[in-house]
Amino acid sequence: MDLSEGSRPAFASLIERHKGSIFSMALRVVGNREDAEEAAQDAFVRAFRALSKFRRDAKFGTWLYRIAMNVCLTKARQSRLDVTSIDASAEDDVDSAPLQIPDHGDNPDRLVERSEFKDRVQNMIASLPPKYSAVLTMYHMQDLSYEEMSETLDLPIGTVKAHLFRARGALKKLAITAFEPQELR
Amino acid sequence: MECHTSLTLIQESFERILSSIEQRELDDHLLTCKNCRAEAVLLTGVVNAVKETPLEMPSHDFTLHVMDRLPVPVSGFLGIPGDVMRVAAAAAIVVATFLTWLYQDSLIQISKRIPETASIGTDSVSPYFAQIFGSIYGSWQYMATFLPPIDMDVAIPVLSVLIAIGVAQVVLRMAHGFEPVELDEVTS
Ligand SMILES: [Zn+2]
Repeated sequence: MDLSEGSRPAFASLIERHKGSIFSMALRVVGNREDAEEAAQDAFVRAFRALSKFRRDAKFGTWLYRIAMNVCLTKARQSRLDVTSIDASAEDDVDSAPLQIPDHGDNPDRLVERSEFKDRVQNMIASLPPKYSAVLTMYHMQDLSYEEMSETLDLPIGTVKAHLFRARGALKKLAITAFEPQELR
Repeated sequence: MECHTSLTLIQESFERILSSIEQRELDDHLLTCKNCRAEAVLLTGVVNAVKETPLEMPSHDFTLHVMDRLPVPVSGFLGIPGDVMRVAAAAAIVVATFLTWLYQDSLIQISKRIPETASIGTDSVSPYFAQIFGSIYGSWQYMATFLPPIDMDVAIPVLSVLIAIGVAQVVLRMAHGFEPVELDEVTS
């Protein structure tokens, strides 16, 4: 596929191939379909304009993902400027003493394995601070390595690992508060 | 094992395979510690939920919307690359300005002769044009009586610039295949 001259038909097929993964990531980071669609479109337009800077030895998907992640993080930060309290509460106490979680370890009908639990947790990803939704999406949904995440976010690997650790803790905390204690039993 | 170590290992188990010693010690702790066991179950449930998040698709006309937003390609003209045409447009501005200034006397003469020709026209086709041109010129002359006299020292440079802009526009339009010109630089 010749991308060097900004070939439009070739680019259209690239959009078709990557739109699902880019839109899914955008949806988890920005939180609603309308903004996610706009962010994903912006990402493809930016990528097209920057095609001359794309190194042919690099993987197009990774390169595109990096552009898209930057667009989404900017958009998410803008749209969540007025809800910084979410950031603050989600970051608080993630590493502190364990919460009192009802023990449902031996329950054959575990809530955590029910689709209702999964649906709600999946929708909660977008209410995390953008940097947390970003690392969760990249690591657990898109299977990116620490190195790829570090390059995408322009952060040291140690910081990426710390974000990932805290992101899981923050999501777990949201999950606990979202369900009634008796639901978790 | 302390609860703190246990919680760290539970988290790390999502990113790496624990050593057999670590795994055994963690298992032993989880058997006796209700809180860490609950933490492990919930965290595993959360991570599994994230992993199983379905792929979402954008609207069906997503690709069309993106294609509509892409900048107009610089197509070139008759095989001449767009960049060359842009340089040509810049050169045309300079040349056209210079030529207009150089031949300003001739241009003034021509502009004065046109109405004469129009009023004289005697062949079979030109009378219609002569009439139209004559009436336009007549109206212009009538309106001109209300305007201050034109200072040719000012009019010639203005005319030069207008002609130069016109020539450059034509060259640029040719470079862009007569599509709307969008001088959008490639940025990251
Ligand atoms: Zn414990």
